[in-house]
Amino acid sequence: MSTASLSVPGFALVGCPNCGKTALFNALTGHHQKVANYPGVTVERKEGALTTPQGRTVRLLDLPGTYSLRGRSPDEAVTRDVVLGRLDGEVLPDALICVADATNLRLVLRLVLELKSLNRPLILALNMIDIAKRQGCEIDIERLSVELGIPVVPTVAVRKGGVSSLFEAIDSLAVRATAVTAGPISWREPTSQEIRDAHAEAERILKVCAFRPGDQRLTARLDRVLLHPVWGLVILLGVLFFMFQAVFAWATPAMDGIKAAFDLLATQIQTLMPDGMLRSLLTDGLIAGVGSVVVFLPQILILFLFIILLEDFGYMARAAFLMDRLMGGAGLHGRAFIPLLSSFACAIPGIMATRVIENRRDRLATILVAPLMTCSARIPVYTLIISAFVPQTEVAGVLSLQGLVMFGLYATGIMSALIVAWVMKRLVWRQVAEPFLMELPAYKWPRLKNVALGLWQRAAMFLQRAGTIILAIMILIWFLSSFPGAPAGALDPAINYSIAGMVGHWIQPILAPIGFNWQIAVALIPGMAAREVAVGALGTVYALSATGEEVGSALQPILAAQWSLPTALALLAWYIFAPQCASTLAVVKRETNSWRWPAVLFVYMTVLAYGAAFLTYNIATWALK
Amino acid sequence: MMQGLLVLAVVTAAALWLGWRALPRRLRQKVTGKKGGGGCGCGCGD
Repeated sequence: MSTASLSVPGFALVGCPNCGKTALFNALTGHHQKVANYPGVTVERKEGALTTPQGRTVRLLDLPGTYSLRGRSPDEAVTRDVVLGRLDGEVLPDALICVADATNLRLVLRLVLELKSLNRPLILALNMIDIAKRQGCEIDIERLSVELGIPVVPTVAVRKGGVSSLFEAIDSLAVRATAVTAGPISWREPTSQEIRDAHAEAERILKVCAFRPGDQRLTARLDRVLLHPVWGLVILLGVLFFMFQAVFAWATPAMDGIKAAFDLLATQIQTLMPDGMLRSLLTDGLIAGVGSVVVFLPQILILFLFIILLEDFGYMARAAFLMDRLMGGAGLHGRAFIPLLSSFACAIPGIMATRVIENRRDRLATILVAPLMTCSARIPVYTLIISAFVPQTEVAGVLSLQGLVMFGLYATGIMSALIVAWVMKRLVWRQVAEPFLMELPAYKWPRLKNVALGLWQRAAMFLQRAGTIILAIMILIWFLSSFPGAPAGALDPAINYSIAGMVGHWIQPILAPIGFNWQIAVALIPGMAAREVAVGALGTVYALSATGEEVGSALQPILAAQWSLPTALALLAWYIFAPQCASTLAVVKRETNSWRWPAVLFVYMTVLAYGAAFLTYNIATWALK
Repeated sequence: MMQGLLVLAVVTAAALWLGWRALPRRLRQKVTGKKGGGGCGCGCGD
């Protein structure tokens, strides 16, 4: 398959994981794909276009990181197949840009030699050259270019440094690339002798082209403390603990502001509009529903501020290293850490990130436990209940009790994931854990632009969901909770006679043993679409249940007055395991190519959710007697 | 009367939109002739 006939030349970015391919892709194309300071962020091909200074349009592919063309894991196989022109529906790239981490040249040279043997036009982009220089690493770029026989361009992708030189190199190569008529690329797995030879050649090139000072670098000094078997774990726990304290301590003023704005809006509508269906839809449906979800935006942003800062600093890869023993004990592969970490944002990118795991059973185990990590959609549910039922007191004079409970919920999610993985890997599949090799990135100061972009993307995603799916569901819930209206002379609130009320009363006996009332039953159904919808649904249901009172977005005091503490705790326990997320089930189906695994996921999580809520409710009821 | 009609229109639009979103992505792409934007599809930006 050749692309010689196509007028637009195609270039592909190839390189080891975490060398800055996606940052370079963004710098060249102007895209905003996710970048982070740990390996395995890109697990599928991404495409963009760029125009060179000579006005030539070039198609650019960003590929998952790989150390060689052997492609052990599904994401590495994608890179190999694209580079060799074997991937269905993908044309063979006309030229390759191999991206190298200049601070770790040894690692990439073997890949460069392997790519060179394909006889395709090739450029080496020596990325992070600024950090290499700061570390005292000297690279003779001209000599490296001569030794390798390809153009070598130093770059600093995150600051767009060297991009113009790279554009020139792309321009000159594009002329050659479109003229190359490629036959089928012949490639076979290298023998162990060939690998040894390539390694020796890489060492020789490194010796003549690069000088590296002794190991007195900042990264090494920091790692001595942060990766210490005891102090490393203490620091990790401290960082996580501080993060959850900050979520509660720092978000309150902004949350109060949003709440006040929604309340003001509700009051204005009630003053300006006559009583009627439209006013009820706006105040009870939209403001009480959507408002009760949007109010949690500050907490979500504070949590992600920490995650993005730690990712950029290079600490998350260290956290993976520290957690490896614990995860290995549970039968999870070390590579599962990044997918599980991604699942704290949303299980969907987390499940997709499992493509970095080579062994199928390891991958399945990670997919099945990823939804147990506390995703951002659970935050509104947790914070609503915690704020309503956990007093704002301090423990030991400094720690917020609310933050402590939140930390406990996250910890319970993680522990449950480890226990479920242990049961699956040790009892069901009986498999021995494989060793884990992971490259630890150099520490870097987080870049303000990357942090701001990450936060902006999270905020936009949250508000987009609130303004589309959640808004539409709230309109329907309001409708189902308002019609049919109450019969003449009825004493109960009208919602009791509505469709939603009837459905809620019908389901409630099943949920009675776990302490859930009919309002919770109503909220759990639309919560299937997305977990945070349950909070909005509770807002609407309680707004309509109230007789003549102004509800606005103040759901917390109503819950505190109407629910018992065991019911609140049971709902928290339910949401640690809650399987309610249609998108997660759909992506598990897509990634496993079978309906069996989403079914297994749904059943085991429902059983755990019901069991945990049942135990929590009954133990709390007994303890409070 | 006007309020009732307006509410009915909003509710119908929300129901139709949700119904449309609930269809499999491939079917939606077939109907519109547009290709999806890639990514994980959950709108999380990853």
